[in-house]
Amino acid sequence: MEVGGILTYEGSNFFRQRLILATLSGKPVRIRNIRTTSSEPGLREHEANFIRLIDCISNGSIIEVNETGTAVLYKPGVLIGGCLDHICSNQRGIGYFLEPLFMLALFCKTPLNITLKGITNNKLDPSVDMIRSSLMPVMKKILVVDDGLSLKMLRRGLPPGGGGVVVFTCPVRRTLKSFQWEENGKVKRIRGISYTSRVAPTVANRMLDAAKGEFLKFLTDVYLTLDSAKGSSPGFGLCAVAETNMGSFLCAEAMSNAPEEDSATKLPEDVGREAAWRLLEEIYRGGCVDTICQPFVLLCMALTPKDVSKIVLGPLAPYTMHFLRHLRDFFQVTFKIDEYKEKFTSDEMPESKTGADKLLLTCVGVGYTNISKGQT
Amino acid sequence: MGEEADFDKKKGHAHRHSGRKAEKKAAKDKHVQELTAQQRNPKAFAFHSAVKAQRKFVRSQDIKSKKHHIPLVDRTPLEPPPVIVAVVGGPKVGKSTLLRCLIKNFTNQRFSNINGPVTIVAGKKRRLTFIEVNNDINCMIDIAKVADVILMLIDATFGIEMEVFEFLEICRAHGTPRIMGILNHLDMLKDNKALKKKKKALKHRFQVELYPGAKLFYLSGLIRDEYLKNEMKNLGRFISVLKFRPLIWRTSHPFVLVDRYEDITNPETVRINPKCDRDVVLYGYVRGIPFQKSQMVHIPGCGDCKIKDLSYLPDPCPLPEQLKKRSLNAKERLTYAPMSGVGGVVYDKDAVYIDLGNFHHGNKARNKSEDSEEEEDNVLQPLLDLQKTTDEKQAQSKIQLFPQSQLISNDDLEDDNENEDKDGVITKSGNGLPPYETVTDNTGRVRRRAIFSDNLEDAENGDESGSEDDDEDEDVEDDDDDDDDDDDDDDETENEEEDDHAIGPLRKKFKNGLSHKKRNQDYGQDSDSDDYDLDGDLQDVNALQSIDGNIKSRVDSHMTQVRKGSGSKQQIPGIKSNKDSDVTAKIQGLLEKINKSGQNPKQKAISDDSGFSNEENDSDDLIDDCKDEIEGSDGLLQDNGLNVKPPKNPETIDNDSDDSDSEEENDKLEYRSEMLKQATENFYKNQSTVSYLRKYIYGEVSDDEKGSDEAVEEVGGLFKRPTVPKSNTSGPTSRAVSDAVDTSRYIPPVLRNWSVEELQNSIRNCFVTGQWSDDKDAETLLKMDDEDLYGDFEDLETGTKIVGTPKENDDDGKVNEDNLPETKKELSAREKLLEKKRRLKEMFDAEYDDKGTGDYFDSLKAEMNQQAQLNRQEFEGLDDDQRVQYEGYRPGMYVRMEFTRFPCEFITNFDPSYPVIVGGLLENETNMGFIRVRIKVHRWYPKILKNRDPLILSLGWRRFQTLMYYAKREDNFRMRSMKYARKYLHIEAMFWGPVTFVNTGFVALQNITDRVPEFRIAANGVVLETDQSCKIVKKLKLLGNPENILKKTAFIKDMFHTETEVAKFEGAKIQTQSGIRGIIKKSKGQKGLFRATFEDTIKMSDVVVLKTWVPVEMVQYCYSVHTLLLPPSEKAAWQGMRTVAQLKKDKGIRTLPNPDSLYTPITSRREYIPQPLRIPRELQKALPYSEKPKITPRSKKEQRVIVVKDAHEIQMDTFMKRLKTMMADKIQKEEKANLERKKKFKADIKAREHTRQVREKRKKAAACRLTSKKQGKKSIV
Repeated sequence: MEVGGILTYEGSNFFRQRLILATLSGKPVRIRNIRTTSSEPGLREHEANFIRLIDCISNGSIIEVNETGTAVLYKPGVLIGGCLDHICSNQRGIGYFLEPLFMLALFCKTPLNITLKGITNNKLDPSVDMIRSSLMPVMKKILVVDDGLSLKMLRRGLPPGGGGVVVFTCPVRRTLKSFQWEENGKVKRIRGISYTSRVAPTVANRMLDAAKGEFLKFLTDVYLTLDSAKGSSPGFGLCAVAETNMGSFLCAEAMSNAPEEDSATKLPEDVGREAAWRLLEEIYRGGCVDTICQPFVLLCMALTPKDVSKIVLGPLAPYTMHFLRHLRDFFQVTFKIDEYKEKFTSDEMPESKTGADKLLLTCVGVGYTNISKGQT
Repeated sequence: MGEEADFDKKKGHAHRHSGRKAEKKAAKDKHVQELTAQQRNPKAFAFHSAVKAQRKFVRSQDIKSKKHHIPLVDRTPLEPPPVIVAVVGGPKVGKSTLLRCLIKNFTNQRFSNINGPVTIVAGKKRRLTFIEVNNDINCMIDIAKVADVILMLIDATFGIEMEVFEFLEICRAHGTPRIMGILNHLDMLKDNKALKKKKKALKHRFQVELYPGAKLFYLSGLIRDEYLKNEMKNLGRFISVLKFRPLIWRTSHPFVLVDRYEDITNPETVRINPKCDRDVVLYGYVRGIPFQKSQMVHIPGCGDCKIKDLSYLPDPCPLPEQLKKRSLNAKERLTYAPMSGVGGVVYDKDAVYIDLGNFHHGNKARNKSEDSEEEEDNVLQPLLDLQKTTDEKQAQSKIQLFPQSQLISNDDLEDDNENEDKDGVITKSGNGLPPYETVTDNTGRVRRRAIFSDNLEDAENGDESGSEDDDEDEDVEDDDDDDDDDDDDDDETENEEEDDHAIGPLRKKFKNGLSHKKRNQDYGQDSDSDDYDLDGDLQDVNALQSIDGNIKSRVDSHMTQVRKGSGSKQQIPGIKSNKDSDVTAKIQGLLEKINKSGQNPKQKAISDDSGFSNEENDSDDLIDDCKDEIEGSDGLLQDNGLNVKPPKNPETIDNDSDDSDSEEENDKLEYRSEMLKQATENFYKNQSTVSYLRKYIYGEVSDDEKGSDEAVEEVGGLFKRPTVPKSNTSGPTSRAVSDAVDTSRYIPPVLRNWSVEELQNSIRNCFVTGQWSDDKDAETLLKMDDEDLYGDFEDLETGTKIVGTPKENDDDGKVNEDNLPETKKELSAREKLLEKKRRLKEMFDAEYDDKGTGDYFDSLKAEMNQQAQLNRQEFEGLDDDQRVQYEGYRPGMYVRMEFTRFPCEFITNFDPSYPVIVGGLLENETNMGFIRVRIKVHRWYPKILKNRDPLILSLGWRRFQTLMYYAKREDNFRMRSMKYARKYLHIEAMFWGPVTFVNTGFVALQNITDRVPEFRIAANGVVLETDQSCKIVKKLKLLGNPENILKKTAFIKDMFHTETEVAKFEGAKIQTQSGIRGIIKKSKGQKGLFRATFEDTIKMSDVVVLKTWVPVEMVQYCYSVHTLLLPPSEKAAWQGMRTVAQLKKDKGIRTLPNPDSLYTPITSRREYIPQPLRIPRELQKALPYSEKPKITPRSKKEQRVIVVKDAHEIQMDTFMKRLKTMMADKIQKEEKANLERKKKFKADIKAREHTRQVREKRKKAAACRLTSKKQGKKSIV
């Protein structure tokens, strides 16, 4: 809703979405009543940290937070990018900060080269492994020409200690190209990484075996690698990614409980199996991109020139639905949501056996142009 | 072009084709096979040099690639908006006449006076909007931004005027449309030869200015105040077949050329305050790209505003519906020009107005008949001048019955029955609310029925006891209602849509039949909106609590029932206590209710939880509510029912389990788990109900096709679960959601056991090892290949349609081919023919268009074409209402745009000759920033542009005045401030202004006043970059003095004031004036003293200099030119901020020059006296004699005796002088004579010598001849 010409929202949820979209659309946004009912009201550390990140990649932005931290007014400036360093809050993973950067980096003035320090894998956020294996290919596809896009994990850091280092570089674009991804293809191979940190390396093998056992029921081309890191905190997990013959990637991850949590420690086999099942769930959901990429890919569709873009997605995640709603608030883009009917399905097959029903999302871009990118 | 058209050709000679003469002629010149040079002499064209060949190839490729333009996606809609044709030219050049004639040519109508744009149907596929451009430069700028075709009138007798050149310059900056020159007043030139000459000269000039080959028409004169019919026809034809290349700005921005406007402000408010802000409606065709519903727009000459409401109307000037093989008839040649008062019928959103000439707009009519109506005016005027209505007056009036008693006013009387009255006031005064009637129920309740014209809800209000058999409609309604109640706290967040929703609740009220309760809520809603206002100020107030409190207090004060309800609240302690995790609590509350509902329904009916209003006794509804609650409260997952999170998700679940442990009973748990299971199973199923998703996400997206049949869905076989979601966007985001964890990672709440065979089977085909669909299955593909190989040979030959034709042969083949033959049969012969033709054309097109080698350019072009096709086809089938939501209001639509708070000057100073353009702004374009541009002073502009002087820019849609800061980009990319814009060179500059995209062109003006002799375009340029900080720097020298010098180290003072300043410059290079370089090391002490080291010892008298750069502080001044709002006299005379020079001139301030820079007479300059050269004695000794200074004793000057002559001596002297002169004369004469004689003598000698030589030559020749004769015979041998 709008108050005095400023988009106004309530509550702390979708904080990043709102700030990102405000930055891209150049519209100021006001967020009120942030955790007013909570025992510790106001912005959390990671949110403040995120604001700081936004501030350092942009020029001329104005951020006003009230005394209690329960209200934020954000007036966006111009995205400048450049070579930066950021220490992320340990409350959330690097994924929390990296995801918005994927959305913003394309529209900076100069190519972004940022080093993020913090927790690389946690349970709440998409881990850096996941982002690398599912968001990066999507980004590559959208960029068309890959000139200097990279995401490197220099060091792994698990909660609560963190200490992971990730370097993300991304080129800039003046405009994006509209695209139609109407086929997700079939899974042709499964890859993955089984990582441990400060635990016995055999744990990785145990996870790997359990996961592989699940995958082999469907496919033989399964190859998982091991990574034993010396982090500051102990933990282990498995991230698996399925690649289809049409070049789309579906990714899932499971990991052990952090030591500080009260819950019982998980067996490595359980973690491996959980990761495998989650990936199977993800395959069941299907779509041209996986669940964590949904908002990003929808944003890219909306920010194309005034052309029609299409994509097939699995069931939408709640976060995505809200993202769609926010997209309409900020960019006035309404997506047309249709059922996706596979072409040429014959009557012989009683059921398609391709998982959940897919959705076909269509939109007309807003004709977005990167205003900050200059010309010599 | 036009030249040929001017003359009727004489009939030419007709050649004979048959007969004797023809035969004879044919016999005479027999046709010989014509061979080209290459054919005749192939050797000459053989391959000779590889280098040459390469050059030739490169050249041809160069030429080819120069022709290429960047391919753009063609976004022109199927039914494009009318083409804007603007008529431009100096004053008195015949613009209006031309316009009138052109319109007459197309429509056969004669317009007496033309105001504003005139839209006509020009052909079967083309509409034109004509507009005349007056000579105000603002007007020209605006038109140049929107016009598709420019008819540029030039007076042949006068030549090309400045206006034309200015206009061309503006066009160049904003994207050149099609320009056609028209030479007028040719009949004034009597002399034929002069005419020809003039034509030629002007054509040449025109083509130089525009492009070689630019069209120039000639209008040869007027007949009865009209141009020749033939010429108009030709011009018309040209206009109607023109093609346009898309211009970047217009294909990225939507815009509307307004052809009608309306002031819809309440006349009463206008009467009370004539200067109040107005509500204005503007009409026009959308052009460019689609308009979005609430887009920001800029109206050049008026300012930025937001569209309040946008809707499309039926086309007032539509193209003929069916294309027939004939030209348009008179009926189809429509005209639409509301500003000129033509067209008569005017459509609005919900009404049709018929314009009755005389009474149009009232003003004219009144002026005419002022005299006659004067009397009536006398009667009417007092009535019109009334400020208040009689009722109001009556209400305010007070009566004093007795002296010294209180005044009795109307309010006092009504105090008693306040409640009803207030309610009545609410509904009556509630604007937009429908009327209602009051009905008394059989239970004794008083209810109000809203009366609608379409009586949708017939008689169902009786049986609202709502069994399961209630039809869907009601269920939906009920549920809507429930939602509304649930979302009470959300309702308060709505702002402007209040009115729309206001109708909703009333309707529902009538449904539910709970009048008191409802009224309360209505009341509550109203006050909620008030609350909302408060909320805007008090952000930190906990909305939920306050609302709970509000409701509670309201409820307490009004209803006794509700007290019981609050009692029931107390029965469930601990639930309300932690409100932020009240999701589960609510569920529990509901579950409890379900339990109780079986036992004591009466109590149930009364009990009411603050959030939900459960009026009905049905357990069904309760469950509905329950589900809704689950959904509504947990927006994350609510749509799919899965949201009931199993104990996997950390936060909420913890609370959940705590609560449940303490309080829940077994059956409750059972029920819950049952529901959970149901929900889990329905998770993916629900996702697929697309209409539901759409509504969930977007709320109001209208979807008529599917909405109705999926309204109700069964849950668990028993309960009906409505899928109709909350209707407003803010609805689903309830409090619990708004503060939930912000993560994009979606972890399915239930980890399904994938070791189960069933589940595994469900994704079997997602893998390459699974079964493939037919078109990709290797087996079938192989089969198809075989068939192709042996079955359909001939298809390969016929070419393109491998898919289409072979299908006929193998009928028994595949499934997807089954239906094809059938359709084939259905096709009639004619259709077949058409199909064939189409295919042939396709083939031809493919061959013709890209006969290129399939290079990158071609593939790019093909891609663009594909995209364009997709753009057109994607939303083709949908009806406009839906299409508009996805696409926006596409170009070609006739739209009505409503604006509020428009300046009243727009209406009062409206002048139809000034075009009103509504230009859409994209994201970011409403923001301000520092714009870096490349600018060049126009070569014809007489003045110099000074730094910081105000300049009027026309950039994008806008025209604004700003201060320009010029800078030069140095080799190290530093932007160095300049005092003046350099002439004849591009220069970079920055200004504060609206953010505009890179590569947008602009023109700059200093002076927009009418009719100045000079060229008004000061400069033009292009946008390079946008930023939020200034990049221009200027040089700064900081001076310091040494305080203390220790060899090469020195302490410098006076350069800085504080330590921090020094700290900033640590390591900076410094220098003394004599060139000794140094570096700043560290600050010392408090007052800016610092230590520095130098490459050599400096002196105390040295001045230490630090050279640095400081960013220029730019003044953030940007003022848009409001020409549309100015009264007519000031429109062309707007000046804005003046330059310093102008200010000084106007105010008579003289700048006193700095006395230091003045020239002063040189008062005293010492004469230069060189010192004598002194050679040391030693050196003197060593020198050779010749170099040695000669010491000669100074000779004494002879002292001559002064002679004084007497008279005789003087006489003698003069005589002697005369003699001397005579002598000299004589000698001179003699010398002259001598010289002559000498000359003569020399000539004589020369002549003699010559004769002698001749003689001797002759002799020699003779002698030689003789000798050669003698020797001749020998030599032959």
